[in-house]
Amino acid sequence: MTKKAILLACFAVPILPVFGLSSDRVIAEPTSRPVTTQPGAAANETVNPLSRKMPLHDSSSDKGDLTQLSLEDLMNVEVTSVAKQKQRIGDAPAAITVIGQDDIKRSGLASIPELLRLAPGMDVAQINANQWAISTRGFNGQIANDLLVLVDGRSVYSPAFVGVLWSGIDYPLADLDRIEVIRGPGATLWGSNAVNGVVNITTKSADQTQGWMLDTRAGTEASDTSLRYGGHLDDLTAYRVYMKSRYTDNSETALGDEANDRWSSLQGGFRIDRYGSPKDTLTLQGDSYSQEFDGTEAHPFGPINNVGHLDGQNILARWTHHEADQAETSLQVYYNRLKSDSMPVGFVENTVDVDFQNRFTLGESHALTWGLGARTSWATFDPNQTGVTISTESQTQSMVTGFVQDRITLVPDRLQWYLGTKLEYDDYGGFDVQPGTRLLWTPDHKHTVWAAVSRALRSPSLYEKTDLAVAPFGSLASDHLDDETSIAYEIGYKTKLSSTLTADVTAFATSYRDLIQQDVTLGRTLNGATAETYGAELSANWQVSPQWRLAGSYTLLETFVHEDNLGTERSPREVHSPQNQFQLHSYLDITSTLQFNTSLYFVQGMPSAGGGGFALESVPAYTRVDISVAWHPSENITLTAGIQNLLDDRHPESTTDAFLAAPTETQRAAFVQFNIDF
Amino acid sequence: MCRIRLISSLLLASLMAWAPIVRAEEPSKEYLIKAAFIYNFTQFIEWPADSFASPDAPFIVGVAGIDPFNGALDQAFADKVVGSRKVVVKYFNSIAVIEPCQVLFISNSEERTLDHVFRRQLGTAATLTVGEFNSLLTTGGSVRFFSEGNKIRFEINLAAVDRARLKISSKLLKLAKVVTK
Repeated sequence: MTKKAILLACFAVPILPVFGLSSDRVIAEPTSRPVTTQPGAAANETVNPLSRKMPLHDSSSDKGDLTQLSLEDLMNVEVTSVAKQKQRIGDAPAAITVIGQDDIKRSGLASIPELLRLAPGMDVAQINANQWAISTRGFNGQIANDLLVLVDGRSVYSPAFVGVLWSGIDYPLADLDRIEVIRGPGATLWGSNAVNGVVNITTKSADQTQGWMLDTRAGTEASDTSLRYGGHLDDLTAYRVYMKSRYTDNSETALGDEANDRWSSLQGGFRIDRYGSPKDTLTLQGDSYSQEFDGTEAHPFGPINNVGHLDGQNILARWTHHEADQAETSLQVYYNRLKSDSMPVGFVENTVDVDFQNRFTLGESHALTWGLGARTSWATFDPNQTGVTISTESQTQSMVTGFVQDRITLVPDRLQWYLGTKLEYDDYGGFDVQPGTRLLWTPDHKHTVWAAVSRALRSPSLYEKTDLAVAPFGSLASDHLDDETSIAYEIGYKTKLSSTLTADVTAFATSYRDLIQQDVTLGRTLNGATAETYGAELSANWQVSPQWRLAGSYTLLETFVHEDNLGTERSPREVHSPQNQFQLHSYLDITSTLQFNTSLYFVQGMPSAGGGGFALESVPAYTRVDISVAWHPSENITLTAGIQNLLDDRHPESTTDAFLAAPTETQRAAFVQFNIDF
Repeated sequence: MCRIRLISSLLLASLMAWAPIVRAEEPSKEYLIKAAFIYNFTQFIEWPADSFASPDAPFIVGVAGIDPFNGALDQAFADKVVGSRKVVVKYFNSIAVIEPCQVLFISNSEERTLDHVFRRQLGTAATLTVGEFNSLLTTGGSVRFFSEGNKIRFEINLAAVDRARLKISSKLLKLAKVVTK
């Protein structure tokens, strides 16, 4: 292998937890809008097109269909959320998908990263038993740093780590309210790192999770058990506490040998919601988890086996005052801690974040949302692999942010214009602006057309800002790095073709500048690369009959990366995401108590790149078929059995990044699951 | 001066023309949700057979007093059945003039006369009485909507439900705040 390639590889990730954990990362971004699930706030409006919850596809957004909701769902509908009445399916001027509890149950999928497969336009590749590469609109990889992920308003992007540790968000799936996936930039509201998408994971409020719930799943590859109890402290205060344990077995290598990537996890947490008055909600929630991974690092001298640990704790408090549809104030504070001892560099990271948000209307035609936030993260690094050194063993990163967005009604019920910007000041990069504008045209109840132009930034990660050395391969000195910048142009069309058929098309073009590059030839980390992506996402939903629903999507992506000093090699960034993806889901109610669900995913292969001995190997195309049967013998019991990857014994979904986890293959897996509420 | 006033009143008039048209007839979101709840209640409650005049009599949902639903109930029950019965939504100007029905929504406008009527007419009728004012359950009503945060909740008076000989599924009870008065 060429020296250059090795170096490239070395630096590619020094800090990532190599093995065990490293997985995908996400993005966290600084200031997250409290995505609270709560009271209407965000929800309401399409005001924040991206922001919080928009009742998207679920029927609750279509007023005529409210009777189709279950009682539980009805209790969850926010009176105001759709209040302005116009909130119909199509009313969000952005490419959004909501994965609700019904989708979660029917999918048979067992974790949050796996569930993201359901969202059109998402690129989910399992690297090994405990890690995933997840992104949208390109640049996927174990370090996918353009996707922002929030859990109940708390960013789970680790600045030390440049991404999200997906394994660390292992909530009982039955207690999730929804996963909202926004493709395209959300930086105007959420700030840095919401470059290519935002994932908002929302858990149910405590009053929606009352009583005991036991959910246990046993499978050939993975097993988990969740136990939850919810009760009332007094008439106005509901709480729940939960525990979840998981064990995932070693997967297999391409040769069919047992890999070294098993994963065990124990997580517990609580949530308290107090409805102090009809207009005020106070939420206090927290989680703690401890995980252990076996891992194999793809080291240039040969694979290194190791055992790593990841521990996380967080606590969050939020107050929301909901005055009226368009008048709401919320204040949120949280603390988050992560500790990893993975090689080659372990770290401990602490984050404190405060976020304030307010919404009001001005006259008939302006709906304003604005907010202020502050965040500080401090991390210490511990190189724990021979030969690895870094220039700074601890770093602090602080920022203050603000945003404002106006939704201007140009023609009532027909034409709305969103104009907003995020302002950020951080102690490394200085002052930045991330403006965006969106236009939403709803000529009638069946059609929605929208267009948007947005600027978004990705901040350099803590590790990109340090000097690194990996003996004997070489070293990298970090320049003073600028943010990576992008400008995205999007256009979308949503239509209700009939009462049973809806379709949604989005096309986008994004240009990126100042992409951070680790140039081994120069021995520097610098803002050296540019890129463009183009693509389209098409999805449709067809209620064939009252008992049968089909949902499908197609995603096209073209990526072009321009990077110096790669010679004739292709940039790994260019080939890390599949060009074509297709999926089709069938949800069939055989009887009122028996469901049969089938999912088919096609993911195109990815070519090799990078050159030299450390080339990224190509990944062949694969077709994945999952089937499951769910039986509800009574209202509160569900028995599910299923097979995943029905068509083949195993297949790879991801390729090797040097110093990162060695990819293994995703195997066929069978499971049975039992869920009871009592 | 005159001209300015003319222009400004023209402007004002044209602005008003643009202002959202008042949609008096459109049901509000709140009542769409409440109507959907009422529909759901009918699916989780069993009425005694003798509460219907005949085997093929329709299932009647009544609204007594000033109607806050603006059509939301009709929408919710359109093309729906309860058991195998068709559903008819009826509106009564006041609770004093109601006819027998399986579900009766008692509007806030009837709060003051309610006590009396319960004693005389509703007594042990197999009627699910639904409303949203504070004193509903203490006067003998069965189900009361209230808000918690931004969401709609409901409480059930088990004693009233028993008096009406209705069987409520445990699922519904589980989601309700249960009171016995």
